Amino acid sequence: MRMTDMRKYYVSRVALTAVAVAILLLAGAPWWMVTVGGVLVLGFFLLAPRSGRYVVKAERGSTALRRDEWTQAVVNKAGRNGFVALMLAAAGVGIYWGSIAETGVPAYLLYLLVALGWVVYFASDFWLRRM
Amino acid sequence: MSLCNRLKEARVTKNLTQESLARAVGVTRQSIIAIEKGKYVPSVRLALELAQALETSLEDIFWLAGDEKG
Repeated sequence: MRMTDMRKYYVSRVALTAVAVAILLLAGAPWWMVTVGGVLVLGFFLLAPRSGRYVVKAERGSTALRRDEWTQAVVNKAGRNGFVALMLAAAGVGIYWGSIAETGVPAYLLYLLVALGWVVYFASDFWLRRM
Repeated sequence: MSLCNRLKEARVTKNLTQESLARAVGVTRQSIIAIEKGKYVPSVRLALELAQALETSLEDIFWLAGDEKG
């Protein structure tokens, strides 16, 4: 990556951060939320090229952060694992509360199922990226 | 049959770091590490780009297990 490309990337990310801050201001967010939001967005853009998760293709403008084929493969596998875990857990819940339990499915259990899917996704992502 | 590679040896011969090779072919350094460790089988396109960046042939870097390689 040439320095001019990186400069182009950073300039475009500052512009995108300014847009995000403007949206927050227009939405009537308090100043501290605007500040935190701006710092988080800009921090993400600054760290992303060094994270090993993205490559910078400055010529793509606003979509300069791209996954390469390996990082995309990791995300795909982690997503598949999370989805399978979610479906298996949902099937278990359906079987239990559909034929054994005499009460309805507790509402909190549905949130737990979704949380389980995300936990499996992030755990898989972490596991697949280990070197 | 599994795919073997001597990407690391070819890269070191060219005095390239993982970072510089990754930049040359437009991927992350982690991808180069994953390929060198045999944890990831690259696409044909990426394999050809790696061979081109290292100024060698595809067969010199990648081969199938069981094939003789000097």
